[in-house]
Amino acid sequence: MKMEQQETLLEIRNLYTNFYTYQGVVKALDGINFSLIKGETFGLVGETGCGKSVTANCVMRLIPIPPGKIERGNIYFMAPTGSEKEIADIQARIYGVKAGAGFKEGDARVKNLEGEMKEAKEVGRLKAEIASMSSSPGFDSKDARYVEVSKQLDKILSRYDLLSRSEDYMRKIRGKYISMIFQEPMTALNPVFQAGDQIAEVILLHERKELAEAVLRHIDASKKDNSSYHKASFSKTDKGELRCSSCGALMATEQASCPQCGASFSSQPLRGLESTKLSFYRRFYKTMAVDPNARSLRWAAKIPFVRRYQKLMKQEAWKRAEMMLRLVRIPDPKNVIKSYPHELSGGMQQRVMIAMAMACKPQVLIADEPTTALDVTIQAQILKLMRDLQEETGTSILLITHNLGVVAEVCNRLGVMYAGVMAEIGSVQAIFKEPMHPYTQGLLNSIPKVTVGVSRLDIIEGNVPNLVKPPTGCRFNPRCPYTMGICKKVKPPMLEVKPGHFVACHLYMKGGAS
Amino acid sequence: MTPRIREMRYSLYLMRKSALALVGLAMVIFVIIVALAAPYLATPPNPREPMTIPKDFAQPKPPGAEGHIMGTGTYGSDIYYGVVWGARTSIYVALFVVLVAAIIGIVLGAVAGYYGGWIDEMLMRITDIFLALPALILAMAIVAILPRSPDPMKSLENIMLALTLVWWPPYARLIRGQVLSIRENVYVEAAKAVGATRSRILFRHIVPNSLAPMLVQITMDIGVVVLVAAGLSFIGFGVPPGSAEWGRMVSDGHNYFIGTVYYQGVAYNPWWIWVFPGLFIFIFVMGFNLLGDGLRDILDPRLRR
Repeated sequence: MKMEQQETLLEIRNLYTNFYTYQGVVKALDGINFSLIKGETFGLVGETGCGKSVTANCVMRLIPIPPGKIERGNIYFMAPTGSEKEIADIQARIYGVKAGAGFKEGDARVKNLEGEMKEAKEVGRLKAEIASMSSSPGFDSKDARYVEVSKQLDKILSRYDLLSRSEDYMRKIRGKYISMIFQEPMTALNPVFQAGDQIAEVILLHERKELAEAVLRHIDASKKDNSSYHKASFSKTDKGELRCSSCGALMATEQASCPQCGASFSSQPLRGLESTKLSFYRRFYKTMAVDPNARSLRWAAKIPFVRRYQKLMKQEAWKRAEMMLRLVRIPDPKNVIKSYPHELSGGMQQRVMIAMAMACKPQVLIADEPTTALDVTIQAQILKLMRDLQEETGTSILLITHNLGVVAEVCNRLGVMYAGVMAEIGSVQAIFKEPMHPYTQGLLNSIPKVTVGVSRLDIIEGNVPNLVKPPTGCRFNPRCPYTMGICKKVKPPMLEVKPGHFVACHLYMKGGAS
Repeated sequence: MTPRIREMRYSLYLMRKSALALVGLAMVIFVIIVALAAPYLATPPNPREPMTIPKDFAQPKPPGAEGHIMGTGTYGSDIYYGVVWGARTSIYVALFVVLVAAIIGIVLGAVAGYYGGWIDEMLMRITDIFLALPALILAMAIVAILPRSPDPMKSLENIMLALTLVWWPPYARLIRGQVLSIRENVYVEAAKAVGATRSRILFRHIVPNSLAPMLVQITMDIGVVVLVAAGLSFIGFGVPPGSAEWGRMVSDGHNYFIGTVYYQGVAYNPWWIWVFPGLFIFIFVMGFNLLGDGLRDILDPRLRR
């Protein structure tokens, strides 16, 4: 099957989430299954209140507990898949380390990679065994060997289960590996901080090591040339203007210092005081480059004057924040970085939000209705921006939206959710061409089409059911035009009707199992 | 021009447009200048004890008497000297009490509001205990417990301590309420989603957003603290007689509130003993109240633009 070849980045398996409220237990998620493949955009659509955002929040572990509770299920993140491509990748990385400078026998990095490889191979072997067993005739899921193999597999995978991780670990994941864009940028940005502060915060939280290395490079360079730390040079542009190397500001004539960032152009010698200060700060950054969370650093950050060592790191973070703003195509990032959220337009705010989310180049970007609050022209820009960024960084996007037009535009695959269950999963082309689940059909019929003239759009009768007392069996049965007897009794399992196209509906069961 | 400065300029512009706030600001600045320039306006005879008013042990002299612009009070204490140095005393007391109470209130209120659960329950019940007792009576009780001292500064410290202890609970309540509403904002969830720690979310994201009503309250309370401190001194708690403290000085003149008295057959009305310190209390309290009102209008985002 084709999907096996692609690398699964995030796999959500049998996720059950409840909310314990005064009205009763809201069964918000009832066994959600889907996976996100590296580099793809997965759309999650459905009516309001069908659990799209809850799913996203479960992945981030941002469900408020109480009232919420993730009852059971697994969310595997960056787990080994055992595919040949993955094993080859790890092999290439091992060679890379071995060929790189400073390699010694018994290098910890190689050991780690070899461990990864071993695990990946094991997962591959177990998966192959399960596949061969389940496809063989006379297969019984209670078979001792089968149970044992799946237990072994689960044991390995459980190490990658986000739901069993500590809160501390999740904090490291959030923002760095999985980040999120919210629906309304005006409420999702903190009104008392400048845009640069908010982007820099993410970088300062997760990439201290990189920042420290950059600062060390700068300090060493300025010591070597015996020039001031904030020294900058200018380069001539094609038009004969001068460009500041530290901030990119343009000047018509030569000046002693940059009017924009204040960096001095004359090669000022490193004065005694500054030199001492830099040597003093250098120690901290040296520690930080090794262990960004060292206790000594945390104490130093509380002592007056000593804490100023952080200034260089913060400047570095601001520089990277500015780069991020350029990356999200904000014109005039110099000014925008210093503006407060209320001074920016909705589209700009959403760009800042995206810059924040992408600041650490996450593996997964969860976009919770990123364009709903924006006007149509800006929507298109933002979607294009997200797609461009995805191409540049290879991030997978989980896009939550009601807008099927958006889905058709940007997504590779699509999951249709209804009342806390997955109704249909498949590639966008397949689902739009041939929707299988009655709910998907209803959704697609309720949007106007340019090519077909209808006087009245179809609707899906009724409302999303109250999830305190969800309908028995298939949750869609009260609204389904094709309801059968079995629909009220048995919950339909996910069935692969065509390769890569899954449907949970009894209509398609006859040809298969029974 | 950076946005920060632009915002500040806009705030100042709003301030300029509000006449009352400007009057308040002028009053406050006047008192502050008097306090800062006290050693030059009235040189203390004993530099180590500037808070004790010099006396000449004569009958009270009316304002304008030689060397006493505002006259002299009981035991011939110089009213002008007391009023000038009293400005320092008041500012000491007011700033210390309000700032320390604000810090205690902010930390306790923010922690209670954000963490909730039994932490909230515990902290708020402690707050309730303090709120259940009348503030002034509690402050009196605390001052009464603390050892008295003939040194004006020492006894002033007693007042400051007592007032701080009764002053923080309303702040804690105020901040808790703010935190409760602000923690529901999406940007708090966004901060969580980028991996910020809980204390960071609370003190970097929530608390700065909940400070605006606090700022107004603090400004107004600076005046009120002076009033209460003066009240404590007036009823005899706190500083010893003859100290440069406005409330104490008004108290020295309390026999003459009713107007003319006859002392050994002589008509006698030394109004200046209590009018001048009273006037300064009025200027100080009124100034901070007007300023606080003005700040409320300026900081209110709904009225801002």
